[in-house]
Amino acid sequence: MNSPDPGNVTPPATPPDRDRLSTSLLGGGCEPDPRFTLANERTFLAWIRTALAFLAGGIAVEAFTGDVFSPGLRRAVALSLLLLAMLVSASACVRWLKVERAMRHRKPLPLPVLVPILSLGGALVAAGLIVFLIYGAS
Amino acid sequence: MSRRDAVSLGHDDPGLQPERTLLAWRRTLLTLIVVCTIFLRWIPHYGLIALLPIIVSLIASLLIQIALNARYRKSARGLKNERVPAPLREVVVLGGTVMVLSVVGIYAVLLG
Repeated sequence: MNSPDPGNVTPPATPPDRDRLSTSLLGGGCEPDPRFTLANERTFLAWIRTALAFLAGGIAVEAFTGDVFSPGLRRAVALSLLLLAMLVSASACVRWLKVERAMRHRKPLPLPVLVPILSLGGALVAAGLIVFLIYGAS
Repeated sequence: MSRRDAVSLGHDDPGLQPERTLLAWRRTLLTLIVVCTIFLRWIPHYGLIALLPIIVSLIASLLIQIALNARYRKSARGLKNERVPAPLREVVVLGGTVMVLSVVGIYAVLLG
């Protein structure tokens, strides 16, 4: 009973006490291993903290970098960081729901679409900043 | 969560998953509040709209924290019964709060 292997878990005989919202959003299937539910939750929270870091970056750029960047550039950097924060938090919710559904139906987990986008975006921003530091500062 | 509760609701999960999850929630909520204090730096420039994020996130953190205390008990029990309810509401409230904060930030930056 206490094994983390999903194949060995007997689904509960009685349906769990869930409200209508949960039932409609999570769909059918049977309750996954509770450890997986908790792990999915912690992954969601880690993504939310990533989004919060972007958010903090965006606000801080707008609030503190008046002397470093020109107004237009400062705005662009702050806006792109804030947009990233929105994108990451939205996709964190969607991914949490997708993973939860996949686990309930014993299906393979969906791929994190955001990971390649984020790493590519990070590389582009870093490259842009290097160009700015070399040519923009003088 | 008082110490006595934790002991009396002891679960037999050697991976300490309920604690790890509860702590992950707490540090996320703490980060949320800390991030919102940066918004306060905007008050001289943008006015009272900068107070909105911290009010929203304090209310959201309070609601989630109350739900989490009940949830910890549920997950400690649920691990014994092999089932833990999915925290749909908490996830929606937290994700929604972060999205609202981003929108407030974008709005303020666009407004100049």
